[in-house]
Formats: sequence, structure tokens, C-alpha cells
Amino acid sequence: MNLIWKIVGEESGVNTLLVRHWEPASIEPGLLSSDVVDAEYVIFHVASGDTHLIGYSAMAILRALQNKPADTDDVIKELALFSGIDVNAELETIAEQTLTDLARLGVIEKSNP
Amino acid sequence: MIVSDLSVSTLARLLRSEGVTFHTGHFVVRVKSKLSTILEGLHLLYGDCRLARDDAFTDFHIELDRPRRLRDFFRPQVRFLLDGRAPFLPLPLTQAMPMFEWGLNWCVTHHANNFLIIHAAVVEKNGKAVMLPAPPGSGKSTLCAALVLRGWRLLSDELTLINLADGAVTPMPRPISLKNQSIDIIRSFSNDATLSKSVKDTMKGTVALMRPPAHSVKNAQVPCALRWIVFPQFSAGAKSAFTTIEKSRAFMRVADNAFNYSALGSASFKLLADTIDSVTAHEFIFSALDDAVACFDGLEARP
Repeated sequence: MNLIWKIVGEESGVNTLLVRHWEPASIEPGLLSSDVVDAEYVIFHVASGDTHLIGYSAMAILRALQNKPADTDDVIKELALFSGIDVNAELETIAEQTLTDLARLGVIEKSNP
Repeated sequence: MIVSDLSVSTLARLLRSEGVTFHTGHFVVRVKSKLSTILEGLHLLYGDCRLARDDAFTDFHIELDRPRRLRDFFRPQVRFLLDGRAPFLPLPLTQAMPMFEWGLNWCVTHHANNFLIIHAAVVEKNGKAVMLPAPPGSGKSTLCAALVLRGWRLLSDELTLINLADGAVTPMPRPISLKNQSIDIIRSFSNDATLSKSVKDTMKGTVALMRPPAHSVKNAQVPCALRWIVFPQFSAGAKSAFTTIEKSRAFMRVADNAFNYSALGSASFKLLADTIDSVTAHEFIFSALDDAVACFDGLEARP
């Protein structure tokens, strides 16, 4: 059975993530980086009080899970959508590894379907 | 009236009786002690601090005394007391003044939760402050001492206090703690440096304290906005150079250097994120202090 993932602490419907992102120091303010997948985000997880530095794929997955638990297949589709590419084996591997990493950090957890 | 307006004999009498109460930055401290090293240390290092009025609220009631035990006849020690309680084990008597400094730092980091408190030096010039977060051994205090000896205002050598209410840095100009080789380096760097006697064999090696400039102490009530965060690292023989770093990385490094980041919860995240918004962040490698100060002057002069 495909796993259902959810953000820890979101049962109440309250947004449990605070997110900040800054333009890379190497590019001019206001210009888009040519390589957005290098983007980094600082998140504050309200439920745990922990702060994490995460990358583009983790942020895309958390956006996909905000306010709606999703299974691994849906997460992979959302990640592909955010990244503007088709689902492929490499993307599936990245998504599964990132889900594991986020779960290890305590930001997401498996949910009862 | 400031501490050095008191004669040494009056200061000694106050220390032995009701205590001497003075402002050090945002805080009011009352100190009692019969130890000659505390008398000498306060007279030398805190002379420019404003004495508090009798009715002023006192943040920290501190006493330094000698424990009354048989062993203290042979190996004299000093205790640091806050409100009559000793939060730490005693130290050798010769370390009384460094213990006062470390103890006062502890008081601030454990009680002043209206600030995000970061283990960092912070200095200011022309209304623009630069914070220097760094682990021990990075040369932070040496660089800080050099900058204030060349005209930068000392806001703090050890604890940067960012006010939760408005994000400004609240000054706490206290003696700069110099360790080991840094003591002679600063003595050679400037004749204006007023240093205490060196205290050997502390947990940080040999320590000497540098008196904060009078101008910095006089302006201790003037807060300042941060413009830069610079992570300094001494590297023997290196040419002084800034390297810009990503703000997200700077955020995490500052949070790692904060004493109460976790305790303040989402408030500290928002405050630190807003602070990072308004600064540029750099790493800074240096060796020669003259070059390092010139680099900071150049940074400050940028539009």
C-alpha cells in the first residue's frame, strides 16, 4: 500500500511551517537564479520548535503536503510539477530520499489513510 | 556620576558594605566584595560606568567572596554569588575578575529573554553596526579590540543583544576579554589599550581584560541597527578578505551561536529572519590587524 504523508502538527489546520527564502548572494537582487534547484529555504517547524535549512526538493514536497496529506505517488507528481519536468526514475529516487530525510527530522510523518 | 568619580577608598568601602551599583549597558548591577582584585578590576575596567541612583531597579545582585573552608587557607578560592546563591563551583582567587565577567555573562544569557542573545562581538560606526559571531579561537575579541581602538564604537565583545521589540542592537559595552597571544598583540597594536594584569591558568588560558573606550560606555544607551554580519576567522599569514555568503547559511550560523534561540520559539525565527533581511553576510579571513581594520573601514564606507 502506498504510504500517506503529512506534516507533523497540522491536525489543527493551523499552518505549522514558517518559511524564509533569500535571493542567492551571487546574483543581482530581483533577478531569477538560472538554477533554482540550488535554492535554499530556512523553515521553522512550529510543532517541534526546530529550525531547518532545506533545499528545493524538500520545500516543494512540504508545499505539496501543506493542508492535505498525500501519498508518495502524489508527492512525486507534485515535485515534477514544481520542477517543470516529467516524472522519471531519478525524480522518484530524489522524492523518496527527501521524504525519508524530512521524516527523520520530524517535520513529516506517516499518516493513517 | 561615574564609578571613577569615587575615590578608591570610597569604592572599597561601598564594595565592602552595601555594594556599588552601576549601569552596564541595559543592565544595573550591584556588586559587593571584600576582594582587592575586584576593587582594582572595577576601578580600572568599569570606571566610565554611570552609578545608579539609590532607587534604581537592580537587575543583578552579585557578590564575590572567599568560601570559608579549611582548604582555602592553602589554596584560596573565589565564589560568584547571584542573589546569595552560587551557580558555579569556586575558582582560584586570582581569577576573581575573570569570574565576575563570566558570571555576569551568565546572568545576562539566563535572564534577559527580551533579547535574542548571540555569542558575538558587535561594533558600530556612523550608525551602522557589524556583528561578529564566532567560536572561541577565531580571533573575534582580538579583532573587536583592534576595531574599537581605531574608532569603532564597542557595543559588546561577547554578547550581542537584539531587541525582540524593534530588532535593534542594545549595547552592553563591557571589558574585552583577551586570551593568550592576543594580549601582547593588542598591547603592541595600540598605546591606547588599557589592560588589566594577565591572569594565568584559567579555563581559557591566560586572560587579560581591556577597558572599553569611554565614548562607547557613555553612549551605552544608544541602540543601533545591524548592517552586516561578519564571521571572522584568524588565519596566520592570510591576506584580509571578505567573502559574501548566502543569507540562509548566515541565518543558520547565527542561530547556532544564539544562547536562547530555541527558548524564544517562533519569535526568534521571525526576528532573526527580519535581521538577515536587512544585512549582508560575509566570512572574513584575516591575520594582520591593520589590514583587517582597513577592510572594515572600507566596508563601512560603501554606499
